[in-house]
Amino acid sequence: MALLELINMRKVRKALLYLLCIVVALWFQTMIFSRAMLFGVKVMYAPALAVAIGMFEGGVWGGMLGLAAGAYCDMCYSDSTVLFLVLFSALGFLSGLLTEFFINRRFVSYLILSALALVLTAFCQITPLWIFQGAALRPLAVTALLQSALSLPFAIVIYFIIKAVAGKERSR
Amino acid sequence: MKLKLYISKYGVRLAIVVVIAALVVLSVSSVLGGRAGLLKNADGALKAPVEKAATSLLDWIEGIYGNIYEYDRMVEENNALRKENAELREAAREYAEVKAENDRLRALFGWLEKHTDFETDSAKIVAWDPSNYTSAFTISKGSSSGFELGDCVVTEYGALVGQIVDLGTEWATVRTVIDVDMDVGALVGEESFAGVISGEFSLMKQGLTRLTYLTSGAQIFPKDEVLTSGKGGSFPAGLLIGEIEAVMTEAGGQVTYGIVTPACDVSRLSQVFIIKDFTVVE
Repeated sequence: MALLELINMRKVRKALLYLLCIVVALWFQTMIFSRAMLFGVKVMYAPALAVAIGMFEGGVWGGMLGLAAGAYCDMCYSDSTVLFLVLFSALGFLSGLLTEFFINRRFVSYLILSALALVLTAFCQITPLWIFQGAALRPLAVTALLQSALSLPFAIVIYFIIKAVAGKERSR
Repeated sequence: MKLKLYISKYGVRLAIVVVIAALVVLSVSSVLGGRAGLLKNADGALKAPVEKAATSLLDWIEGIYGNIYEYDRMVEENNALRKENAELREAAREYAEVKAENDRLRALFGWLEKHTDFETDSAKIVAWDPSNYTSAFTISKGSSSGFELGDCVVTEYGALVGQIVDLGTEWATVRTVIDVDMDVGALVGEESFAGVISGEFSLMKQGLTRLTYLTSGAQIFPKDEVLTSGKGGSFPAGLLIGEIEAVMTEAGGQVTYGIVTPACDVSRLSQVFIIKDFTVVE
């Protein structure tokens, strides 16, 4: 019992709630949207999760939950081992840091940050193909940009979900 | 809190955690060498029923979507028979599904009669890899069905589909023949010139692949059949990969390669067959 008292149950509950959001969002991304392609491209909105959590909960939460989301994404994507783990942690931390010192938590700021995160992720995905496989840059870049553009509407939905979760947790 | 302090206090700690986590993941995946770890296996097992349900749901929605047009046409023709027709169509769809599976198994049986050394098992595709930069899918069976890493995957007609690259207890990931990381030893044309099927990104997006590293003096022509060479022992020899669609020359003008249309239409697959064992012919 004494050990239990050392645990901050509020933080544990908040972390579990965010993890649930991450798992549900990623299940949709990897199971439902992996079959639905627009212009021959599948969506990849997971980076927006790290950005949103970082914005509303700060760099540490953004980084740690970004790490969890990244690790899970690495498990689901057969062409990645630790790319998303490192990238989403960095994105979560950076968005927290930027919100702390330079930008506000408004929708427009989030939209710009998440668009940058989506583009950065897509270009990180294509870089090994470009460098190590010698694939032509143009079709890779077109796919990367399309992937980012098509993922942006999903990022908008994520903003409101994470905002609602953060608001609910603050009001407790 | 100042920016520098924030970075040194939280950023450095987080970076250490991330580096440790990345190292752990890299060492675990290196030790497992494609076999699923505890977490990945648990995730696969947890996702398997959801994936099956999602696949069924999406198939059902696609079926409904297709039926709307059929339904409208029938309403115009005969309103009175609408309900009965819908029931018949439902029955017909079920019949078509069963018949298609039956045909696939019959074709496989005929093909297997020619390859008595093959030990095969069938599996359904339950999910496609969400990445835009790879061509892979998950099947409904894994190591518990006797599958192993590197097992060859074919269609009911014996056309090469791909290879198992990731293995869980009840699931396996198959990298298809058009994937950018796929390399398969191949023989092409009547004189069986050796080459390598090696995926390329822009071709992969069109459902095609590339035949490269041809032996010097090799001559290839459109419509030439491309078969597995069996070298290395990963794939049985003589499996149909596809046919040459076009013969190209690289920028320098010295290297010839072929664009290959796979014999299996990867995007239309729903069921595949895994060759669990075969006799290696050197």
